[in-house]
Amino acid sequence: MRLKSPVVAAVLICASSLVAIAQIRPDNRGDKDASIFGVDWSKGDAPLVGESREAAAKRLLGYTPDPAKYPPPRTPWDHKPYFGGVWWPSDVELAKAPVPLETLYKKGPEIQAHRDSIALANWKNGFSRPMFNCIPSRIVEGNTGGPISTQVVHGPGLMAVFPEAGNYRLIRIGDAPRNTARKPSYMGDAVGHWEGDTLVVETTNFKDGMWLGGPQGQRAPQTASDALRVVERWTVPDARFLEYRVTIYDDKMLTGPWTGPTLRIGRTRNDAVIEAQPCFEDPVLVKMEEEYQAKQREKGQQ
Amino acid sequence: MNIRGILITILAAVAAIFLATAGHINAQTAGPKTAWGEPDLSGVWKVAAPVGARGGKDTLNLARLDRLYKPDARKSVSPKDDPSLRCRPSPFPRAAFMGGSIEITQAPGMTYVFTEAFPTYRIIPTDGKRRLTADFLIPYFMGNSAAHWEADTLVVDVVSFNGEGWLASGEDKPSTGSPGVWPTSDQMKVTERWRRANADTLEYQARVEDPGVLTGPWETPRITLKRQNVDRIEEAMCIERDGASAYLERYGLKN
Repeated sequence: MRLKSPVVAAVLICASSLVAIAQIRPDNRGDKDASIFGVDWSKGDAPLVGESREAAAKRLLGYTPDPAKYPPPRTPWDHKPYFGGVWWPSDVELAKAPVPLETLYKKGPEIQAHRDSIALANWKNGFSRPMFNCIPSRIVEGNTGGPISTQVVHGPGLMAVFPEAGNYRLIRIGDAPRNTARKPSYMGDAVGHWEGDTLVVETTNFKDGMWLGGPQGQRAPQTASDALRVVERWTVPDARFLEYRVTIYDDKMLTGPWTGPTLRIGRTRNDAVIEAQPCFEDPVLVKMEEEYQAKQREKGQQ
Repeated sequence: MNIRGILITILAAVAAIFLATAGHINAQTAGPKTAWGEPDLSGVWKVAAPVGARGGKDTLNLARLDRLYKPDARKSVSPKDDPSLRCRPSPFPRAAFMGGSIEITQAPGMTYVFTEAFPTYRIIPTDGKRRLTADFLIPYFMGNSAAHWEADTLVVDVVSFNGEGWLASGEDKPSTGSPGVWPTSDQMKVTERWRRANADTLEYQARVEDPGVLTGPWETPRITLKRQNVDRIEEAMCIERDGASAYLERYGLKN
């Protein structure tokens, strides 16, 4: 396993740069008004800045929603649940995914070729994860969040989701017609509509070859085709957390839709903000990759 | 009532009529309002005409900026060091006229600005309560913002920059002798004025103070942005390995 150490080092470098940019901190707005549209949920046992991830996860899992005591804040413009705020941690599974995504992959040489020879080839050397090239991957890669925080900005007709690491998403809410002339993109076209108090977000028009999951051992990356359709369901059972579930449709790659775990994500104090920095390629990482590729070429010549 | 009393009454009436009329005119010309009564800045906006200093035209007051730079501040900096050539964003005011669109959305007490170029965003508390205490803030490409409304103008103070952004492009040269380099320092402070002049027009103006590199304040001209009839800004990822120049060209982003 000569590859192992550069790969591990690369992951560490990436991880450390993410940690460096990812910080929850209390905002310094200087006022004691902790209410969101009239609901003060800052007291009681709302997740606090500084609480450990394990403690937050345990509390979220053992918690019974109490909407009478903690009514979900509602927007003043359409009186629908308000998703604005900082949410953390985003990997607490209230219910597991019914089946692993891998079991739904179609078999056959074409599918395997798609998974092996995507535009970012050489996945086996560990350097070609989309995130290493600053290509957005969070919305579809794994799609199960992570132990990091996410800030949601919610305004009339628009919701923006900022993961601490990576690119933000803009979700249009409402009946405005989609721009069908738009070219396929990394983040796709996300449009939300309300089913009662559930925000259903459907995202389509992705570029071919996005990752749903990374490589594991000898398993190739879980790629998606341009037929990918991502449907998310966002709810706020009470003011202190949200629930999130995603279903992935891809008729070309999967034998059927895959439903992800039901995630419970705590709302942190409403005066928290995250600082997410734009992604850059790490020059150290790029240099390591170049050295690695040079070595591979040398080996090939011998 | 004596004559003096009558005169005062007449003057007061004239003043009242004048004030009422002025208020009426103001109400007619002010832009749209949000459901909760703030001036509505939301929408997708793009500069009406190129802003910068190219081909002998200086539409950004860059000749003045050239004179403000401290001599040492631009030593050993070349136009090739323009951060956007390495996928690094520059803060507003430059981000307002990079060529790509910007999108603004609002919630009560908050304004959010997204840029097509790079892409970046800003979260701007507009309730006038936020204090910007520099030692608390994390230096950031786009700085940290706090704002309040002055009539229908959003006045935004921005501090805590990381000093990596530039104020203009390496291609902007207001004179033949201009070095065409526009660096900033982490001491930069920006005061912006945003105003929705009418349904289709957003006005933007910024004042930049940066004792790290400038000897005095620099003000941009008033920049006009026009509303774009699209549902959102486009995705324009800058992927360095593709080459940032190719990126800027592909997405029609002026650098």
